[in-house]
Amino acid sequence: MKQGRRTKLIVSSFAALSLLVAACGGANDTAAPAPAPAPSEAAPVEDDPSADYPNRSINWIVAFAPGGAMDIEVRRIQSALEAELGVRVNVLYLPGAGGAVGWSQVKNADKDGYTVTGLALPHIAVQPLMPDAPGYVTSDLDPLVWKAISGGALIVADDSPFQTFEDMLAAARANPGTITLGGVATYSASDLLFSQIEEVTGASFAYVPISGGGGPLTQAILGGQVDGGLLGSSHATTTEGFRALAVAGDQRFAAIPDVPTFAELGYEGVTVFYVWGVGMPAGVDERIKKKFADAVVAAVRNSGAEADLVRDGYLVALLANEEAVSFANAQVEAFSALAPRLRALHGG
Amino acid sequence: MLEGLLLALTPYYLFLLIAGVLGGIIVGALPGLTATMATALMVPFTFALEPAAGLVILGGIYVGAMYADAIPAVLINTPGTAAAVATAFDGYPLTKKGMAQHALIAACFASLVGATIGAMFLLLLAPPMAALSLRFGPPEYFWVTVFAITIIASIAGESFLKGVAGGVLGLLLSTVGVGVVGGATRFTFGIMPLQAGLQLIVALIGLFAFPQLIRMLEERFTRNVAGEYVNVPHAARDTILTLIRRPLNLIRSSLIGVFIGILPGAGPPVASLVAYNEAKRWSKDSHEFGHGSLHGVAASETANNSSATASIIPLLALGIPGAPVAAVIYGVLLIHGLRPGAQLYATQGAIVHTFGWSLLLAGIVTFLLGTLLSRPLGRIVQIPNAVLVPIILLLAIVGSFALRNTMVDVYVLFGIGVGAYLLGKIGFHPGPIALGLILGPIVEGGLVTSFALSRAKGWYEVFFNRPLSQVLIAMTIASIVWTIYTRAADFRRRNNDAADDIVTEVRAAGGIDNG
Repeated sequence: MKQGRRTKLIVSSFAALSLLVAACGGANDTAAPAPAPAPSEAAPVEDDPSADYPNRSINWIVAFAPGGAMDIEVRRIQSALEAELGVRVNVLYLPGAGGAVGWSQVKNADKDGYTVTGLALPHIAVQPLMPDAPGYVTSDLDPLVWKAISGGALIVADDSPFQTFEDMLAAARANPGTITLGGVATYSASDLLFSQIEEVTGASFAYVPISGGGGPLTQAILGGQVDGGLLGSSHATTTEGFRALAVAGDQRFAAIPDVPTFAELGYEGVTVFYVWGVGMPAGVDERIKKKFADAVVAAVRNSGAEADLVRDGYLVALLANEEAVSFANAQVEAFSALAPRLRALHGG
Repeated sequence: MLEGLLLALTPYYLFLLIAGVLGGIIVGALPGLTATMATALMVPFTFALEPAAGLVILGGIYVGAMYADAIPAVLINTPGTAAAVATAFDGYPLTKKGMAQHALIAACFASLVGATIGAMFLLLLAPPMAALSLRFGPPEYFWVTVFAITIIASIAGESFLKGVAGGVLGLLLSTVGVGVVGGATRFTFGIMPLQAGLQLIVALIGLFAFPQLIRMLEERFTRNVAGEYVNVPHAARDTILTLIRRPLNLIRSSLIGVFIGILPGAGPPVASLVAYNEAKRWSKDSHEFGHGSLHGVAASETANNSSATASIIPLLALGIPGAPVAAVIYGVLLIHGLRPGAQLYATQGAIVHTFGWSLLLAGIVTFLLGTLLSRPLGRIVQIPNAVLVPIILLLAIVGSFALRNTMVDVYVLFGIGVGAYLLGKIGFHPGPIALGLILGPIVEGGLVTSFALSRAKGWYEVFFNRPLSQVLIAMTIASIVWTIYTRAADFRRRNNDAADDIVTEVRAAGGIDNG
């Protein structure tokens, strides 16, 4: 359970920062509870809508293009989840505006548990902070399980002149605003990470939003078009030619043991994690939600996805039900404070 | 490397390949169904297979679809994917001349050439090509798109000014949605699905198919079929000989496809437009382009196939998915625990080479199937409009809806369709509008990202002082000067003709002889 302990540490360290020690730390001991047979399940009551759930196929909305991280995270467990639930799980793509198009559609879906959606933090916490609302607020979506965590990381190409974060920081201090850091679009995990790094170091960098998703950003970093890039630490594992200088949180990531955290380097308060999970539109019956969440947790465990996630540089979280909710709430609270800074960054 | 070929040639892999190509042909031929969707649907099935076997199916779908998008472009003037816009420019006029079968054979032969050359680059030159793609930064994307915009001149149709106006309209339509920078929402009128912008394929169906359907209904009273089908013996032999006599066109188009294909985010739609433009520019009989030139069809289709195969290069060599289908393949690789890059070539060379060879073989399969199908497909134009129009309309609506499961896209289809029909009535060609829609997001992304870079590094440095950018700027200027020169020459010639006409008329009236 080495991985589990690590998860706990990251999560609780994060919770500490967002003043939610009690909510998250306490709940951790029961992380992903084994589905204990409740009395009501032995003798199904008439009004329990989850009794015959699911009895038809479930649509899993991916709010990003095929082949992206959110797609991969459902594909890993799709067949195991189908076995667990006994029904088909159809993957539907509703990409656009960094996920906002899909989530604003999911919000209006039937609240019967047959429409579920891939969720991503900090995306669903940050997008509602945009000056033009994205069509949903965070509370329109109920998180059920947070599955995989990757740390917000500052990544450079292997042949970058910057060997350490301190090197880059020194360059930024010598010539403020000339060190370029590429990221995916605006009101995203990338510019959030950018704002936090500027805030905790007091240095001034130049944010370069790159359109078109992860591909063009990878190209810009590898090609040295930008001095560094802001993305999930898992990319440092899966992309050849990437080197992470520092990662968020106060615990190193097992997949990149040589990469220090910002906190280790003396800059505490970089707390952006890329978290992949699943949720439903708000308003679905609690029992249905729990049944589905437990099935997802079981599917992750039974499909061998845990080992694959570790291999790909992730931390396996498996925060389900109430834990999933409080984790998302903590993120929303933490990042709301950064809203003015983000608006200033984009002149909004 | 040869083991890869031998593996790709085993019956099992050939079966998977043919199945993939057939699937690709079906989705490519139906406007609204995309290769991206088809490959994404296949992903769960590939889990049960060896990684190489899964890649062979996906590659087959990709190559098949890149050919088959020419089928509706040729037969009903509607590109099956964005990569066949330029195919329609000459493909449909060929159909109207009764040469649908020739156009279809030109398309599948061009696909064979394109896929072969693209696959050779993938197998032999992937590392240097990947290194080249890394030299392309945001400023280069900006300039290469500006260069591509100069194509408007050659696809403008009758009126140059209407072509430019159409291009600007397309660029404007491409701004709908959330802006690349600042997160500002533009022209969405509170309709959430519009945040992602107008869906390119929906807009293209609206631009091309919709006016076409209305025209077919109008023609119902004069002739009740879309076009003539003339059974010409040796159509395949004649077409292929015609194309082979201009090898330069095929090679140039393939290379343009490869170079644009290795640029993530550009890909087949841009490649086919640029290749078409250059084919027209350098052709001895450029006036035939747009009126049914087999070389025009070949240029577009060669480039989109070589571009599709080349888009696999940055994926396998660097881990950069450059096109939507490449992204799906990337996902499959990652789930199988394979990490693209030099390591993959070193440790899993067999997979890489089998995949590369299978793309080449997919070109051959596509050619054979395409030639076989060209006769029955060519006969589609004989179906009475009363039957054909409702079927196409139904496919267009279902395809637009299925893209994202939202009715908004169907409304967009009708809105753009009616608009395009009315604009067509006053002499606007849909080509430049489509060009604007395709290039808009790339030019905007390149521009705003370059602006962000120039705040840090200085605008002169970013926009003008990079070697590749300077080459692209020179090409853009040359293209504009060439356009002005040929337009002016055309204009003079037409004026002279007009003057001659007047003289002739006056003579006929007996006015001058007296003097």
